[in-house]
Amino acid sequence: MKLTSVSFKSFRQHRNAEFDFSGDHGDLVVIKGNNGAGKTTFLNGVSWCLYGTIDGSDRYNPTSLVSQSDVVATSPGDEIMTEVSISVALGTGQNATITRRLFFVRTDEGVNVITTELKVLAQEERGAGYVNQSEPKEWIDQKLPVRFSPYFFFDGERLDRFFRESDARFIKDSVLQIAQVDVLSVTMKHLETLSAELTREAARQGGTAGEALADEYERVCNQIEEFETKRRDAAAKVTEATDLVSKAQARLGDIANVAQLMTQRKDVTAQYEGALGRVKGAEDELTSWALQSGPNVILLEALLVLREEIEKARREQVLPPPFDPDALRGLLESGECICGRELDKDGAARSHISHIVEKYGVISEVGDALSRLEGPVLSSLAMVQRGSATSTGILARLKNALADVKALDVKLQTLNQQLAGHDDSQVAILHDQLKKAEAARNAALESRGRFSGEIEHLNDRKGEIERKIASQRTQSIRAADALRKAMFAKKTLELSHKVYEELSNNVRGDVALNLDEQFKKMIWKKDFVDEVNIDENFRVSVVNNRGFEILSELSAGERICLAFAYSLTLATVAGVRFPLVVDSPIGRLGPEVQDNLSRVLVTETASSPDSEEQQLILLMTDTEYTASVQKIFAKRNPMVYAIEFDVKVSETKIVKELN
Amino acid sequence: MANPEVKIRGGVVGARRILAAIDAADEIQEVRDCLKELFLYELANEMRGSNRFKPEFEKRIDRLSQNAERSMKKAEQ
Repeated sequence: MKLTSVSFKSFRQHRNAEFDFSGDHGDLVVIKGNNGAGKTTFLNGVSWCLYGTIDGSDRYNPTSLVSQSDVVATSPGDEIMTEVSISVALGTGQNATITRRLFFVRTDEGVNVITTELKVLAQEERGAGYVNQSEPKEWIDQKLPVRFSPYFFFDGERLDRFFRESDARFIKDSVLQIAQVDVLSVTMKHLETLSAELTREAARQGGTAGEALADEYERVCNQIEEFETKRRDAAAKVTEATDLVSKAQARLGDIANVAQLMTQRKDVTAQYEGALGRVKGAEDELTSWALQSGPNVILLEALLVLREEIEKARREQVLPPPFDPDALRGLLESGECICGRELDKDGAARSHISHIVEKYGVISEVGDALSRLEGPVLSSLAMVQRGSATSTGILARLKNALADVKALDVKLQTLNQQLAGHDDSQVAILHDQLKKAEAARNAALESRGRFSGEIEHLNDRKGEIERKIASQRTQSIRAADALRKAMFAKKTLELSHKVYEELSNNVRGDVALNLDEQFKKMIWKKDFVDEVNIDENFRVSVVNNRGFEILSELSAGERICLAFAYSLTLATVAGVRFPLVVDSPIGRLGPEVQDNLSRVLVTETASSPDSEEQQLILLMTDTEYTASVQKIFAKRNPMVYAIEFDVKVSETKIVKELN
Repeated sequence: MANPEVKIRGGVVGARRILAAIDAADEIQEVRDCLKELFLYELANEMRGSNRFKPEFEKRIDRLSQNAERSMKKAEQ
């Protein structure tokens, strides 16, 4: 199936535009334009025409769709029509045109919606005339089911997030939805409701006792429903928490090396701080020692100098030897020398002794005093010497601590360089997240188990009541009818459960197999991926050739590849070749990856003997449609449209480029 | 409800697979038919955006359960 043309009338900036994709090259289309040129409007126009939605939602303001230029160009009371029309070629050779219109009336303030219209003209068979389809919505849902649209019409930003944010629930929903197993689950729900109603009706045919049974049955059914809701919520929480656990574990695995370095840095930082503490301790000790011993040192120095000076003076005989001036004064007073000779009053000896006493007495007293001080000075000296030993010890410790600080500083700087850009708190946050997620998962598992136990118990009770109802002895035809229907509904319900389980597993298995095959074909690093799998909990895993799970480690390009592979897989499993319209598919990638992905895309969507061609309409900016990408695309000879927003007329102009 | 076969031929591949699984199930014909019909009705409902099921479901359960009873009696004879 392919889109052969898309035309716009008064649809935002596409005031009057037609893109014709018919012809030989329409299977690979590039619509290139800068930001704001109208690429996203093209994508929005396609999904609005087919499904009446903008960005996947039907809650949009219809007046936002009309071309502002047309609003300006009209007068109040005039009618304006917004229209998007898509022609499709169905694989069977039939063609159809889908047209959605919005009619507005111009008012003084802007526009008001008058009515909407959806029209499908389709050929019933090849070459036949076009027939207006009475149920256009149903027709579209048969040919281009809305359930496929999220995987075939999307923007590159979503593509980039496809598997980064996708959890098991998303995968499960998309797989079951694409294979319509979700419709079976709605059938089961309705069947369950009806089965319970029919059982109650059958019970009520049994008189008062039957009424009581019916009431009890209803009560039990309601309780089961309540617990099932709780169990579903708990199961959803288990899935959610398990996803979070896996993501946190994977993320922690990613930064295991970083975490190790961070632990090292933490240890080294502690050692560094310890060494700094030791430096401070030694400095404090030294200060305290200096305060205690400092005065002694200063005094000692002075005394030593003085003693030295006195000794020197004596050696040079500038100073007499030590003598006692008082004793000399006693001799002078007694008038007799120690040798017994009389000291005459005016004699030379008395005069000489008097001279010595006068001239050197004081000096000698000082010398004596110094001599007396010598003892304490020596003891101070000894103390200072002891202090010196203490200070040598302190200095040695200080030296060691400073050497440690220096070495640890170098180590710390190296670690800081290795960890540049990594936040210490990141790991702590992740550990915290992991812990919380594990706790949440355990709590949810416990709740789910408890609710399952309750449901099992209630189902036993329900079975008992059903048996009682079935054994009620009533003669009425109505009772028999109700019982027959109730039993039959129950059997049908049991079958639906079996089929649901079987199909869910089968479809999951098929999707997993196809995804594995498709991704391996797409990935340019050959033999890099060993297996892509979807487990029974719908969790996707990508295992590399060394046996490691690497889903969370895939590069942006590889992730986009996986997303494309998933889209194509869903189409394969559902058995359709749906046109793939992607806005900015490779905008976020580097040039090399852009080239690789482009190469893969043009190869993998080309027709093969087993399958028809997959139409690819890519809305690309100039930075995506580079000369190199153009060269790669040239192999498939694409159809290229250049679009440009003309500010003067507020309208997109399109130019079909020659190949 | 429109003829379900037309819808199936229209390309509802997922539905086709589900119907095949029901057909292959080890269950009496009437129960299988019943589930198939209910599923197709639900499919049409989904396309119409409707959530109405009760009278139509009950109608089919009634008819097919009667058929089943008749078949059983015939088999007993």
